[in-house]
Amino acid sequence: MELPLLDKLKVRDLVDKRFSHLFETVSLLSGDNEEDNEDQLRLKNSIKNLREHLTEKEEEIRQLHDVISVKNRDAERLNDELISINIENNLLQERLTHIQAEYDTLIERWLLKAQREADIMNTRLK
Amino acid sequence: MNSGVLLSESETDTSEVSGRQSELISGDESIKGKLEEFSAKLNELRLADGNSDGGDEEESLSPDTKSQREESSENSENVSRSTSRPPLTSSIVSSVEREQLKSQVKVKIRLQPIGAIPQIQPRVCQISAHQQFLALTRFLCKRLKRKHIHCYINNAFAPSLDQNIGDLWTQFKVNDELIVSYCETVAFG
Amino acid sequence: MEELRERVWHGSLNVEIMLSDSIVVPNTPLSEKCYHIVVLRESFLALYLPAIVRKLGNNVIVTYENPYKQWWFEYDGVPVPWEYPCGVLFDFLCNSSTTSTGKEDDQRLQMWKLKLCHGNKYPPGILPLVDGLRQVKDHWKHQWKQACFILNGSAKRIMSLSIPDFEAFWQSLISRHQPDYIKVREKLLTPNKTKHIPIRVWTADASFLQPSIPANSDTMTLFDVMTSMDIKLQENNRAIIQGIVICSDEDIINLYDLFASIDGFLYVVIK
Repeated sequence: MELPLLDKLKVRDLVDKRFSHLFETVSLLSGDNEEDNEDQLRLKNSIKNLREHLTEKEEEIRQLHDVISVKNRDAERLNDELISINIENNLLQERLTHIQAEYDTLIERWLLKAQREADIMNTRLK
Repeated sequence: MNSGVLLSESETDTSEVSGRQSELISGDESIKGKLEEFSAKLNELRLADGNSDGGDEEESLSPDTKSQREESSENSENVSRSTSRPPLTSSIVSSVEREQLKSQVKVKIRLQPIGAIPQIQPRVCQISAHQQFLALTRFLCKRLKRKHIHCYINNAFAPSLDQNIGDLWTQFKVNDELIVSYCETVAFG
Repeated sequence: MEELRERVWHGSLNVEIMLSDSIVVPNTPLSEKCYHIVVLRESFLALYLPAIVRKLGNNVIVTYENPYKQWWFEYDGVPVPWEYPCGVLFDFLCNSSTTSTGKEDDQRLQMWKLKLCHGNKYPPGILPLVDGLRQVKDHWKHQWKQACFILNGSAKRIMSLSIPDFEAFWQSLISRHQPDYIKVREKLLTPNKTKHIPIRVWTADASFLQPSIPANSDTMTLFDVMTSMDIKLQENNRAIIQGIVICSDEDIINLYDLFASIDGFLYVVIK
């Protein structure tokens, strides 16, 4: 661009400052003045306290979350064990019924056999 | 008899100690990498040192990869300053070449103490022109075992820590040496 | 000429400062974590921190000691150093000429979006601001001492400024009083009798160079300076000073006189 320097600056300012009325002008004189108002100081202190309190609480929350997740894991483990023991129980229960039935059958057979023998002996004696 | 019991595995209890602080990425890895690269280049292409004044040895200042406290830093933050801005694509080949050349060249620095601080030996040393002024201040801090050190050029001004030593030497050298004076406190307000 | 200097002094940018997500209180409405301000090209970002922190600090989740310590700005995730003039930083980091143009009917907004960050550890590339306003002033003073040395061969002229004069120099920056600034600056350099030109060149590969440029009696152009640094100015590689593209046949001493920044250096961004 062969425009003279001043014209280039004008173009730059057009772009740089477009809509600048929507932006706040900050005075650099607003340096780091100390608070001269007691109320403000008190408010700042209570904000500071609240912030510290907040960080503490968040830390507590994190720790409690950890504790909860550990407890959840334990609960799961216990549940699992409970389930497996239940299953074992069921299996054993089945086995018991099965064996019981077997036993009953055997007893019946034995009784029948004994009865038959007794009958045979009885008829022989007659 | 197979009881078919489900065995629950005993997990290792990982109750984390949550000491989570908001840590920022220090980018130390990339800085270390770059510095090591340049160190290696230097070693490969070290130029022979022709003259030596009475009493001074050739001292290569190796870049300090550990962060240390800088001048005017009052608390225990780790300060690391580097040219680790994301590199943009450069279409200027010659400036890259110039940078490479810079990394091979060493310049002489004359170190002068101000006040109660001891004189460093050797008085005149060499440092790679490629480095930032920061590297020199770190070196001095380390050598003199001080946490803060103020450095000045030609007893006049303190340069910005990220200024290039080669440029400073070219601009302010006296008899082929860059005169750097150092002090424990502020010497030139 | 006067208007030119005035425009340089009054150059400003529209900036949006937004609180970084990592430090803002959750559920803060957008209007309260954002601050839109006009930032002067010829000033330092650090000087705006108190006002910014005062405005946005209520919605910050971390505790902070003061408005300077442990705060920094980021542009596009990249930390922005506080010790260079704002205009230079903007020109280097963004300011692409493909955004807004100067045409009357172009109604696009040019806004520099910065993030305000806070943390216990500064990211690499940032000089810790531990001493607030005093540190900014100190830094600026030493930059001027260096510039003075470059211009005159010694820092005598700035060292022999009276204390009221020097304070007026600094205050002129804060209160934006250009006549005071010019008055003191005139004591530091004589236009025809400078030895070297304090100039800093920022190239695309993010390195900033400070070449030693003697002020010859014959006219030295920007082109000459760039050539001595092996920089070729071309279509896609132009010299930008104070936000405008500078032709390579401009006289370098004139450029320094008109466009040097408030720290005594002429900044040239090559993009």
